[in-house]
Amino acid sequence: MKKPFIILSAAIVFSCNDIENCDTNDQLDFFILRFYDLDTQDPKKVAFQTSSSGFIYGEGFYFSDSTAIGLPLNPDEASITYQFDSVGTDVTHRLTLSYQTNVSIFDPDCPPSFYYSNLDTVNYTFDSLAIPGTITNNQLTTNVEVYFQ
Amino acid sequence: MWRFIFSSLFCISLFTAFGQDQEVPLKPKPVWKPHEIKIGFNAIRSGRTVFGSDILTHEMQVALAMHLLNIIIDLGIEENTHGKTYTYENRGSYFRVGGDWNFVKSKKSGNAISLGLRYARAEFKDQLDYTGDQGFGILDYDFENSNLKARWAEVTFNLRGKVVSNFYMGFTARWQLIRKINGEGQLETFDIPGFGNTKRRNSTAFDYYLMWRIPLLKQ
Repeated sequence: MKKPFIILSAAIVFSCNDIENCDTNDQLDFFILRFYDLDTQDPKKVAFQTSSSGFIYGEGFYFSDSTAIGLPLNPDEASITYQFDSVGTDVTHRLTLSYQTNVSIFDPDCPPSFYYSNLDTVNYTFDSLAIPGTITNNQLTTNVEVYFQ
Repeated sequence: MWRFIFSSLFCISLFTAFGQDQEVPLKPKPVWKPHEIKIGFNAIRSGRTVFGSDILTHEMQVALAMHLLNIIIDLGIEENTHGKTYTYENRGSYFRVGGDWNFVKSKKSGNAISLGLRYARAEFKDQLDYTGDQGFGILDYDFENSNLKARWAEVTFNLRGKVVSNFYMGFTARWQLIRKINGEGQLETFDIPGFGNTKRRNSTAFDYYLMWRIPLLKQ
């Protein structure tokens, strides 16, 4: 009688323990920007050279043939401006976003996780813009949608 | 007509029967004068301080017994450090106040099997130092919450048994409920002194106490 009781108690204790894995953390330290055609409202494939003040990648971040991009936000600032230089043309767009930085410890064995909330626009040069996701996490596939011709 | 008179008389007789006085054996009135005080410390917390490397915590408990009610006061301190690739420090103090109802009727033994309620508060601060790349180069990031306050309620199940003379040992199982934190900034606090991890709003805990009993009434 004593042995099953001990096994049952141990099972209850272990079942209450969290199973942590750094990969199961939902929080993201970047926002997801999606591009749309203003007229058709369809996803638009673009090629941009992206830059921002303080951006580590020096001359910027190049991407082509993409309808979406993940861009980092600076934890030390409350807003950030990205410049999008269209590759092959002289068209340039700017987007300034404000946000709140949040830091949490998901598990002591994982690095601290940065995520951002209260995403909002300060100004932009795209034709239209929407923010369907004001917080950066894995549950959302889009934070910012921009529409342009 | 006879049926009506008979029914009325029957009802009246029933009420009259219920109205009669019954002799009730006299119960002794409970004596609420404090009859003992127990003072002790949380052995699990002190054990973690001695054998653990990343925590310093101590807690003392005072229990004043009046009839079957024990007034409980817990006072504690806690300093935690976490992180391999960063440093997270959390330090502060806490208290719990509440009462336990003892189901062991013998006052002489000092033993207790009790259920209780607690109100708890913690005042603390935490800090995170991290060096890493968040897309803007390898930089130092410092976040601090300097004036954090937390409160919660507890339902407890307690057991205290006499070991020798006036020395007692026993555990307290806690169900910690409706936790609330005030004063958080950008950094989300990971620990609350006296409560533990903040991941859950409701949590459980287990503590083991070593206590000394001081009788207040002459036997």
